[in-house]
Amino acid sequence: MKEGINPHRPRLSPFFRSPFSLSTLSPRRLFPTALQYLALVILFAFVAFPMFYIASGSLKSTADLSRNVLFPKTLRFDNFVKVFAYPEIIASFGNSAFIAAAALFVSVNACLLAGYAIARRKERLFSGWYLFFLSALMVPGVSTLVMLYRLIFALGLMNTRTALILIYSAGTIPFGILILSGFIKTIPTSLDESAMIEGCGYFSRIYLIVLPLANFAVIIFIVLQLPAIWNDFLYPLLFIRDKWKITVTLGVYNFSRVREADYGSIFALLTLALIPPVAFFIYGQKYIYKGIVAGAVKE
Amino acid sequence: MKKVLLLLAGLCVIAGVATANGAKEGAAPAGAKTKLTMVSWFPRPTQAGDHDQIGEFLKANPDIELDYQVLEGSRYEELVRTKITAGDIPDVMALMTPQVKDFGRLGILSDVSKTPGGLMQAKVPSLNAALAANGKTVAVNGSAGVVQHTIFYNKVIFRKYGISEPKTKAEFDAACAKLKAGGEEVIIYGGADTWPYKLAQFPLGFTSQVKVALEKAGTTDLMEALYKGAKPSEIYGDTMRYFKMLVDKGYVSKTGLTMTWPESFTYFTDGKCAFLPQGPWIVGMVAAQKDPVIDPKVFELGVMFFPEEQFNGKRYFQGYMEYSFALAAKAEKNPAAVRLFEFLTSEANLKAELSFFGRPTLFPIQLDIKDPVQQKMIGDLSGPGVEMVIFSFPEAKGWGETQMPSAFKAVHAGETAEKALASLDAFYADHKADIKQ
Amino acid sequence: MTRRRSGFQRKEFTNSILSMIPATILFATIILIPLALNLFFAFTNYDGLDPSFSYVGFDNFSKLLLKDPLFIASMTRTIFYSLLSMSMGILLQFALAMVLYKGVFLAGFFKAVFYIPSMLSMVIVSISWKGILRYGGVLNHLLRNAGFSNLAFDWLGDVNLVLPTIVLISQWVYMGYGAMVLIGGLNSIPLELVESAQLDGASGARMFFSITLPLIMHSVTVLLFMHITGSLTMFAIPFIMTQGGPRNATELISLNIYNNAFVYGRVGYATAEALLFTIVVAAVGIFQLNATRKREVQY
Repeated sequence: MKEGINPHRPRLSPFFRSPFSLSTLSPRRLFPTALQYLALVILFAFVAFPMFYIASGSLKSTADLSRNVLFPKTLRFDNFVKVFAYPEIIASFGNSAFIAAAALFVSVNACLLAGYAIARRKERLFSGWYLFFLSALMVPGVSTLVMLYRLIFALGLMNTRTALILIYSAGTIPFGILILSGFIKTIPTSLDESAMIEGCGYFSRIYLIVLPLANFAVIIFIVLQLPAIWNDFLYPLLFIRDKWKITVTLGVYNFSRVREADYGSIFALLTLALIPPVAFFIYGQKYIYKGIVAGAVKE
Repeated sequence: MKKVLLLLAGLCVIAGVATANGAKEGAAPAGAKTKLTMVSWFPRPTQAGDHDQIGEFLKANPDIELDYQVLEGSRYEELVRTKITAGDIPDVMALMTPQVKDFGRLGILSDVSKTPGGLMQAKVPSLNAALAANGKTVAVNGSAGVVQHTIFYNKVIFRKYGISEPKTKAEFDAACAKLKAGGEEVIIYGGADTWPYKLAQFPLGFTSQVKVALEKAGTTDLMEALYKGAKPSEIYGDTMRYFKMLVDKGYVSKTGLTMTWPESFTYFTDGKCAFLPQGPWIVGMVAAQKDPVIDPKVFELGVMFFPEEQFNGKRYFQGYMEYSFALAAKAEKNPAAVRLFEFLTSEANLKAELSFFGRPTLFPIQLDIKDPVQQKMIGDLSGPGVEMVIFSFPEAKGWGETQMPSAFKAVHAGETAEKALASLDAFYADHKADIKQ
Repeated sequence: MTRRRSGFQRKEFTNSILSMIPATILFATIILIPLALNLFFAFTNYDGLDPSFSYVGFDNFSKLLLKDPLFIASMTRTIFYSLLSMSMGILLQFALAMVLYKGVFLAGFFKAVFYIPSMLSMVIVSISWKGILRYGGVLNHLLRNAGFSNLAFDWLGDVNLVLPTIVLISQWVYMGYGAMVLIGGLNSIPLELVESAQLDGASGARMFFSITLPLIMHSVTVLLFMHITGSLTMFAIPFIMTQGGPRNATELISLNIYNNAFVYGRVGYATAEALLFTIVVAAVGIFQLNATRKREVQY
């Protein structure tokens, strides 16, 4: 099933043109012109090259890299060995996973509860509350940085992964409420009502009736926010000091500073760090695309 | 949907447990080693034959477990500061001088004047004053008197052109001209790393800087002179203009602008340039260079100090206290921490460390120097007419590590000396209010 | 007649409030409290360490706006960066969407490759590009080999080139993402409208501006919003790649705030700056949302 082609498009009408092709009058321009193909190839090279370079660079020795040799005589796997000599790097992958999973777990639950209330209640209190949450989308991360730092310190959560979990949960709440309340609104209230008649309590309603139906929105939420959490750099940089608690991003950053000019091993680590996002994308691309469309087309 | 949530929850638990075990790395059973933390910016040496002071300490004290944290050097002040603000105060710290003043003033460091290292340091009053806060000595220097004035040169190139080590400024200029005419790269600074320009700021005009400071503010301490109103453009003006002239004449090669300092070292030892202004550690690096080995037909190491004009019959050098050791106030009563501190600042350890790196010292210690280049370096610095200046007055944040080298770098890249000096003036004026004594 | 709420309705209401609580607590702790603290400390000269700070009134603000050349420079630089990044971004993303929307051969593969950079951590992006763009790196190497030695600039070290270079890098990251958003919008245009417009004689540019653009306005709104807020608050790339760049050439506002707070130790001053910054970003965001929302068309 080709993505991107409108499934309802009538077959090859000679009058069909893409909404903004500049050559409506010339016949049979059903496929992209050569010019457009050229543009595609150039952009593709631009985008793909760095990733290819990093992946191939991880197999070259540092001397080869400084001389920009294209095809090394020997493939050097010892770059990877050098990476694994730092066991905390392995731990960092576990930490990132743990933090992301925990944060999303908390966030999904909080947003589900709040989203349901916002979607169902008509009082202005709730629509105001909704805007209140959304306003945070415009606060830049760096503004609260300094005071957040003091706050975490005062709470005794310095150098803990719990601090990060709390921060990420709170950070994803505005978006989560946006998506979940929007979606829950499309669930007919008749379902709620029949559940109420059956004697279903408020919270059971949310988890037993609404949640299975809002499945889709939750997955989209997770799929869009997981990369943001996994890739975050600023908060681990500030709050994590203990080498066993670092996240992947912090680990890569520290590694690149410690091994200054040893590009071979730095690229090896970068390649390893590339794997989770790519794998995640391949596994979840269906939902990712749906999520973007959902956010972009209807609100 | 429940499945997804359960899966998430399960992942949490698994990952959390798995990594929590890693995080407990230090949890020792009762009666086992005492744990200490130390921060520093220099990594432990890795090559065999290097003097590893931490390693020596651990060997002599098997009952102590040390978490030796290396924080990135170019952001060291910022990183330690955030650590301390967070309440995560290490037991022993290597600190740069401004940090000693800062943290000492806030009572974070303990009074070490009665320790063996402190007593030895008391014999060099200027050092002691530089590392004191609230009237107490709070740190002992580890490398007292490391000089940021060394200019290394390639004797092979000198011989090729029949040049002998310049003894006056005029001879230096003439030598540069001759080398340039012969098509050689004359002076290389590893510009990509910025800090190597400290070796432009100090060697090329320190005596002139002290002269202005004495005239305008009556002190040789440049930081104090700045605070008292002498403008950076006045103090550093001559040095900056001289550097600009070197750049304009092509003596300071543009090639170096984009080199990292290890690249500049390789360039130098490959025989591709005549002068490399760099720190005394170059001697050790040359001696240790194995892969590839340095070709003696192409390179032979020589060291000199820039032949500045004397002022008052003296030539001034900055006693650069690269790093000092401090003991946290909260670790004062911890015998293990005290042991570590006293070991690092003991005469024996300092002697071994400084001899290994070949650094001249202000401490009354007789060093064990064997390398002829190092001997020459120390010889040049002893004797009459040489005066060491130690900055004990606090500086504006980032002045020495960032602002000054950046200004020189800009001039190297093409900015005018006047503009660079003006921006230094502006920076100091802006940050002066933040300086706390 | 007075209506009394039934016991059931009251219970519903209470439960609704209860279900808002988890999200609200998290949100208040992590986002509201620091913002409130910002408001407090912005009027002091707190330095982060010394507990004996004092109230200085509006001093911080007046210093910022009138006497701090670095702040003004950062602000102008950030605005310039944002404008450049947005215009280039919109162009590139539209161009890419145009090509991919038409159902190019292997569209799925292309889309994946274009999209993946936006899933990578900024750390990975920065370190990879730093390796490629450094003076002795692969880009210059290729340029020299191709005979374009005079184009082999010091991309990250030259004061005039470094900011455009960073703009290009952020294009690299977001080009695919933006294109996907636009494609989502384009796919939602019903064919009948397009065809009837064509039958009426609309073509090319007219078609684009009168039909296409208003119909995808919603996607454009979302995209523009993300562009604006993202580019104004850009922190990670300048921080990791250039630490503010050669002579502050890449010191954007977020980095300036960070430096003031953590490097120069002027926490009070930095929080004042953060407050001003938040207001600006929020104002711009709201303005943009309103402006484009008016032009959205429902069908």
